Amino acid sequence: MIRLGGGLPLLPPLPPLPPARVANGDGDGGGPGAARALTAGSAGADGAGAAGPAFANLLAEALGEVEQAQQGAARAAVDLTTGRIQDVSQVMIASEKATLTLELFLEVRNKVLEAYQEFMRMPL
Amino acid sequence: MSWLRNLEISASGLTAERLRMDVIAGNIANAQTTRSADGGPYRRRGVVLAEREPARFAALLAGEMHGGGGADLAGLLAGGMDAAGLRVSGGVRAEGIAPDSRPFKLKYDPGHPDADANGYVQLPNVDVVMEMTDLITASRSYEANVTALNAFKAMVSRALEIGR
Repeated sequence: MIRLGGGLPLLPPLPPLPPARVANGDGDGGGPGAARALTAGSAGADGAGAAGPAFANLLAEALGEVEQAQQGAARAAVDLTTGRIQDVSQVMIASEKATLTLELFLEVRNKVLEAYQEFMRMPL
Repeated sequence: MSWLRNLEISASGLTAERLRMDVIAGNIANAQTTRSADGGPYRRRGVVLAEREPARFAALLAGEMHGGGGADLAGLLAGGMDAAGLRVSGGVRAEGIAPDSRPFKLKYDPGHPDADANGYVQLPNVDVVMEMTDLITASRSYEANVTALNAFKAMVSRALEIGR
């Protein structure tokens, strides 16, 4: 092996690590940030590059739906007290929608994390 | 969120039944009212309910995403339509509140302040027994809608358990 300069063999430069985006306190719950961290981590290993962005989009989309549903439920509760909605059932159904979409998002997130952990456990 | 479409359908049923209850309560409360807002005795009211059609575009879009391209039956059914154009109902909506055109009841009571020249008073055409029956129907329909909604919620919860 040819030794140059500082004695290290020539290697191609590693891709730079992304800055830590998870739980940075800006209120997005680390969802899209976690998804992007997953993508960057799995893009370091070959073959996961194509699967990474798809998972990230799925999580981001699901989080958007959860956000919408939660805001709808809060809005419905306020509208009931101010008198714009006169139906208790509408408020209950809005909050039920929020709960169900949140549960679905949690299951999706669990599956994505499982897949990621399984993948990272692969010896390279 | 079309996978929660079932909740919207049950929600529309609950709203419609609650409106019916309001109208029935108004009829019962005004069963002896001789002076209504438009003059004359209170006229019995009823709610006209119509089927609410689901957004046709949404059903077609869901079918397209599922089946991609042609009028694939499985794709259409996923969106709630079948090939003949028959579709899952979008629920119920109240079309309006219609007055009951049956004649008023007449009661002979010359001492009443609203008696006419012959001593007859016109009373509302509300039959309290009929209203009570309608009230029972409305409240049982409300409960049935809540049961359907809870059943759907249980289904979704069980489906979410598949992944655990």
